[in-house]
Amino acid sequence: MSLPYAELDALTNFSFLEGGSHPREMVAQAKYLGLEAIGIADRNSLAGVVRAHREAKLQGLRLLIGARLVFEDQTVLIVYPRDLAAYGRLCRLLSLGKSEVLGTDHAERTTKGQCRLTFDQALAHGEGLVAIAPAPAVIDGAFGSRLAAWARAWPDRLYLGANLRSDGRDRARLNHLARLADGLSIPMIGTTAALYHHPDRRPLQDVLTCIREGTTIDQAGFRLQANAERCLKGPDELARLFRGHEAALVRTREIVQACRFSLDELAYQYPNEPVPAGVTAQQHLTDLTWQGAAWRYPQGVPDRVAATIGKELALIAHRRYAHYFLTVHDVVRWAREQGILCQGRGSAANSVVCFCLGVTSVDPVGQDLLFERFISAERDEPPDIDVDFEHERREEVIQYIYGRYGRDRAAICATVIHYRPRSAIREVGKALGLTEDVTAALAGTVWGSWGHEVEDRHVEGAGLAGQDPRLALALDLTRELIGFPRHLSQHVGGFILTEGPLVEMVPVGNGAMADRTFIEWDKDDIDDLKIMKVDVLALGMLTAIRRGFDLIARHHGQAWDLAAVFLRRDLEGPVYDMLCRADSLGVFQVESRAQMAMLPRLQPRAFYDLVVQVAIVRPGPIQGDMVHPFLSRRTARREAQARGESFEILYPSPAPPHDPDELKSILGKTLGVPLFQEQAMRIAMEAAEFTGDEANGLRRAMATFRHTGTIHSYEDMLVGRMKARGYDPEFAENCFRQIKGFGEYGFPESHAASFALLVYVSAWMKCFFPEVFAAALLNSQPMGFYAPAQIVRDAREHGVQVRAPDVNASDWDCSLEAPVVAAADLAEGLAAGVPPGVFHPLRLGLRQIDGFHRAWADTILAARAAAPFASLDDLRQRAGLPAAALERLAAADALGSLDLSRRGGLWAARGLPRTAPLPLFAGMGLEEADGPPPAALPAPALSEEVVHDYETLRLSLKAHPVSFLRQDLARAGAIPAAQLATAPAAPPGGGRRIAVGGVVLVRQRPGTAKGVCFITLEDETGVANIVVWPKLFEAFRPVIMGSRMMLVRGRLQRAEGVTHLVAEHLEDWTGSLAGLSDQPLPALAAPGDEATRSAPGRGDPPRHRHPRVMPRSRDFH
Amino acid sequence: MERGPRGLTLSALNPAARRLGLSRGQAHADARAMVPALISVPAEPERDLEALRSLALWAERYSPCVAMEPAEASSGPSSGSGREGLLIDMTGGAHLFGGETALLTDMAGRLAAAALPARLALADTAGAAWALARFGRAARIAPAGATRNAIAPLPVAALRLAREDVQLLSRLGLRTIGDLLALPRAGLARRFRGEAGLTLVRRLDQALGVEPEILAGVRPAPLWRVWRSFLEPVIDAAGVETVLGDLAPSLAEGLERDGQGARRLALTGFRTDGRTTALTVALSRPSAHPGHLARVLKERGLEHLDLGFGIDALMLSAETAEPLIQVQGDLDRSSQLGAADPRLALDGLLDRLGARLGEGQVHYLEGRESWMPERAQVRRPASEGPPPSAPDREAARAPGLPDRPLMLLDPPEAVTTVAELPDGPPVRFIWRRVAHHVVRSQGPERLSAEWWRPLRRGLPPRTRDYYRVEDGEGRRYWLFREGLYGREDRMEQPPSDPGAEPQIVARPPTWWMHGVFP
Repeated sequence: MSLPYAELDALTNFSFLEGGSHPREMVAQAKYLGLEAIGIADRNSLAGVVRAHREAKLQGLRLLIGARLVFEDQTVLIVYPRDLAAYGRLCRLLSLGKSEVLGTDHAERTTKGQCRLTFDQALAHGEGLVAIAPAPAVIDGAFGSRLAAWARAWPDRLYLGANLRSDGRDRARLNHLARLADGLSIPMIGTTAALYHHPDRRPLQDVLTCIREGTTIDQAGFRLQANAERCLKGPDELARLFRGHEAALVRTREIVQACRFSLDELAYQYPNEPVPAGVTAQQHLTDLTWQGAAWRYPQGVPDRVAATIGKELALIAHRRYAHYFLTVHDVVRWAREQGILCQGRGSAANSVVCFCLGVTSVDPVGQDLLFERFISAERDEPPDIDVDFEHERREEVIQYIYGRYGRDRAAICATVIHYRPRSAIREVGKALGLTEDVTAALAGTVWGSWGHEVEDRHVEGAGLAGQDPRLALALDLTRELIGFPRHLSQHVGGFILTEGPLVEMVPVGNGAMADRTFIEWDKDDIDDLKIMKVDVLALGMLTAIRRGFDLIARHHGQAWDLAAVFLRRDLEGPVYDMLCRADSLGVFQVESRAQMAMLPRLQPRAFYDLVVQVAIVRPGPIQGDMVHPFLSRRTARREAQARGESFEILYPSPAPPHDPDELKSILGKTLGVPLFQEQAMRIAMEAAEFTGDEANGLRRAMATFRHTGTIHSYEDMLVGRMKARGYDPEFAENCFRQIKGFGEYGFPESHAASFALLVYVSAWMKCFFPEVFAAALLNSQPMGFYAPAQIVRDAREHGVQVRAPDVNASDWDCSLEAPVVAAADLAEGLAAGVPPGVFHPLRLGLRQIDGFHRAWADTILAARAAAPFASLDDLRQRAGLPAAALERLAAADALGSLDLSRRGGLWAARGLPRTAPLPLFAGMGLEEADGPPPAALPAPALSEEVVHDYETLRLSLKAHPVSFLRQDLARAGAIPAAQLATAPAAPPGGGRRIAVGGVVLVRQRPGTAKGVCFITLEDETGVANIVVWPKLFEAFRPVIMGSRMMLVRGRLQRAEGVTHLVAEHLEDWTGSLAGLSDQPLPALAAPGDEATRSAPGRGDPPRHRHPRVMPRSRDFH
Repeated sequence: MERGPRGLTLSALNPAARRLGLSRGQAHADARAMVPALISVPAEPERDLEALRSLALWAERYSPCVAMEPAEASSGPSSGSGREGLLIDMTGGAHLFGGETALLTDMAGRLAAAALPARLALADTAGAAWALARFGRAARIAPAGATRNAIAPLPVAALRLAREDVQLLSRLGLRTIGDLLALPRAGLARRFRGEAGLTLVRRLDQALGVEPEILAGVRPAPLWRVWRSFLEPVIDAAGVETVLGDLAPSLAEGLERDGQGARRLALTGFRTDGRTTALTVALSRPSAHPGHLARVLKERGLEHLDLGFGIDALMLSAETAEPLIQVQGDLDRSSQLGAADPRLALDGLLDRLGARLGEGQVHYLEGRESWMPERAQVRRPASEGPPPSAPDREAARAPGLPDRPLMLLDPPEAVTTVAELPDGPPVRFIWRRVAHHVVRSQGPERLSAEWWRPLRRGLPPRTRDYYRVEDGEGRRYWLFREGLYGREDRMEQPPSDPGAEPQIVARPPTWWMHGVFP
């Protein structure tokens, strides 16, 4: 019979760069070793406790939650709360320590535990906290006197934590500690001071030490541990090591019994604010919902809807979620009042109540969306409502929430940043002393940042064979380090709101951004504790749409909003026609090349088609090989319907005796092919007979796939059971692959539906008001997949006249001018096939000028209101602009209305005095001061003007740079991109080669495309889509990665309305582009280009990252 | 590559890299993306500069005035280490090489022979030559008095301007130097910020020779050397020693005057047959003590000088010197070396030992931070610097580390023991065929292997448990057991047949004697 023993001095890897094991590993190992309980106490943090809690429940092990307080004088005290109240005090204490580190250096905060505490502060919060003073490495008099003082002062019991050093003198150390404890009448307990769960983790812990100390393994010396003894140990081994002091081991039970606190006790209450006095929350919600229903259904609430509302309200009452819905409603209501456009997304779109409350905009009854997917009586998961707001105004919403609920009751949740392959390789490589060159090479081979593994082929790809033992070590350790938490960052917008003080529930710290506070737990942790959160997200497209509505109201006198657009079914035809042509540049979500290629194949004709369109070009359906079956069934159905026949959907089915139609209800809407995340989950439950628990486990594995990779344990379960029940093995395997894909980027149907609504609205705007749409997009930059140059070009191709920025005509934003039917416009309009005067001309705003400040624009507008500027001098004097501003205007050729050419303007602007003119000379004209501009300034060639336009505006209205090289391209045999559409496609295995040349807009190598690279080129006539197979990619890698302009030869392929050139040879034409002017043309790549943004090693990530404006579209990784 | 504000960038390329389309100033990461197998090494601007300096010294064969181009002049794509050109003042010197054309041909030939790519130009002014060398097309010699015409067609960048100034000129449409010459200078200068306007005008003037440009020539570091020539050749070592006794004080005087001490001495004899013979010796620390200098050479062995038929001159020189740490000398310089400072005595001893046994044969033991006892010290050549101070030695020891024996057995010797499992101390052990009975023991001190070091004999390294034991006769030993019972006592043997499962084989822990306590 082993001694009863609990380990109470254990760190996890949430003591960043110190602990060498995940919380779950610590807990599982403690169970395996037969410990009575384990206490997890991380350095000044509770960040890892929820994970430990989860594992402890799974393992059935008692868990003590505490913290290792490291004071400013580097002394250490481990504390465990006895009860909920003491836990609250501990959270308050840690929050206090975290609030002290506002504004300190980011790196310092992560390594120092983001906390600054003193013993006296701990003392003030110490009631109910059992404390353990761990013995330091060297036991000296200072420790003895400190111990004595602490024991006297500490309100609750203080223990001495005896630990061993394995330095050959453990017996003496133990005896010494026992005497010390005896003398002070302090009870002594035995600990192992564990840094990791298993001795095999020592190398990794050594590497963490090196990373922390900023040194290499060869230099680290005594900063490393001498041995691997800082692992968890079983009671028998400890009994042997503590022979003669077994009582100290048994005494740990005393603490375990005293500290009964469990995270399950956190009773969580949503704020009560939005409920008026005298009404219950549920009643208030019911009232609001029915009011909303009357607003949503002016012709009367349909019976089906009314029934659904009743069902939903009953379930909400049963689960007591009324407060939550009211809180979200309150935020959305406030935003509406401020005129901030917002829309719920995610599973909330399944709820009619959300629809009636105005949180979401898609009618779930009309779309057959199921509320059970949002909340169910069986599934014990809190609801999760995500609301997108205009990205430029989200901050207002956030500050409203802080203002309404107060700092001590509202905070953003954390995002645990994990080591990913690239960061792991870099740091491990550095710690092992690999040269920067080698680590950069290794890191550089992982395309995109979403890789999970460092594969051997990556290593070979970097020209580094795995022969070198040091390199092999580095790779092994890197694999181990991937998935370790690295630091805490703040979530993009997940708000936690509480009725009681939040700081007594979880430590709250200051965010990297000013005015933000965030808690220590991330989304998964909160879900585990059944804490609800509201995601306040930012979406650039909402900004653009709101601006578009404003412009339409101002210039066309029509009032529109999201719902109104959606209700005008009579306008659908042209919108879907446009989308079917893949004429979708700028349209939300469907503007990327992959989406554009899908549009003509999918032929969307109804809203649900857009829902499918949004969801289908994603890792899940692609990896599950579901795209082609779906498309071919759709085509078949369309053809059958055209013939007037009925179309029979074939469902994947099990062998008898199982019900062959068991998947019919799941897959009915998607023609028997699973496309959405919840379909995959339902298949697991129906076809693979997953129990509720198993399904929850799978859902969690899927949600955390990117950092834990536990999903593989479900592979056999899912595939095996489906096969055993007679399903086609290929279908079963595809289902699992699809689930893996959803793990990378989940896409539920309701989410797709919310997005599809914005797809439709933005497409509608582009279709009927192209000039409004272009202006709105330009004014909401940066967003989307394309650069302003492409937006402007697209607008012009749709018959919009675009005018250059001018100091006498432009606002800060791009604006619309009165339609004037001038002769020149007429010609341009007719050429584009648009009757003149239909669209308002679009005037580019001063915001397009590189480096121009908003404040300058404001002074210009204020001064211009009186009268237009007559001359540069007039402009300078009346607008009071600094020379730099005038220079920018001149360089951007925006002084045309002052009769100044770009060069003349620059000459004049550069000649101005730097400071404001003295009053005496204020009236003196420039010419008197400097004389006229010299006639010697040569007039620029058009090509040079274009280059300068790109330099200052990132676009040119004068010409396309490639047009100047057309003759050279023609000599090289290239045809204009516009001719690709009509050029003959090559028959399989042969055919004529075709060449096309252009500037590189986008290069992508999606993870779902097995190494195929997609390049989009642009010339003066249009864009060309290039496909490069992996072998060719390797051969032409320098050209592909390095060119700004290239010439591609290959064979043309055309299928289902999509034309692309399969490359056989690529040439770098950057040099020709450079020849257009003395000054190099700036890079023209669009924001969607991966080669310019995925390149590693651009220094450290920026310290204050902007909250992501748009969810990164993951269809390319 | 070099690290700049924007991360790692490429600072120089070989022709193969240029052919792949890489460029100077490119981000290293971008280059990597283009060429994953790119081999790159950190830039060493100091060594580049050193190489340029040595080329400058070589170029002194053409003119006594050779200057390295000043750092601010470079306006290449990467300003980087920058200095990459030489300016040679050939005023009145070209005829010595057969005229200007022949001069450049000669220079080009020699540089090509040394495999140094170069661009050469010759003009009336340094500025014009700089411009022609970099931007000129065909004729790289601007005839005397025709500088203006020669540089007018060159781009404005040839004026050694900052990049943003070149950019501004380009925006104004001013491309060539000729375009600038056509404009009113005051108006032109006003268009530039701060000093840039003045710089532009000065650069123009310098190129045209209106304003002089002073070249700061490179010179070799001054040498400290003293001579003595003889009427009658000296033919034996004794004669040399006598002369050395005269030379050493005057060299020491020169060194001391400049605050320098010799680190490397050369004694060169000029033989009557027109050849030379030399003896060199390194000193462990800078010295300007005449007695020490002479003694070190004598220890080295004056008889090693091959005097042939005699030497007619002897030169003593300090080939390298370093700043001397001044020590108060004696009132009369004749007293024994080291009487004042024991450190000097140690240096004297080290130099004499080094001279006798050969350089690099005398070492200090220096502490190294390693838990492995046999790696905890490292030998460092005495010639590399002063011995570690006592605090340094202390710092290299782990805090609270138990005592080690003074001497370690290398390699450890196998012993057979009787000990309690799993990690009890030995009760009895047999070492060198003698049985010892343990009466007292302490341990284990557990030291895990340095997993990052290469494997020996392909076996995974194992943990050591060290014990201090005392036998019945009071002798104390330091033993260790390699391998932990239950953790490291078995290992996976990779199968000889690749298809088979790996086999688990026993690898019992072993005992070793590592040292004896005094």
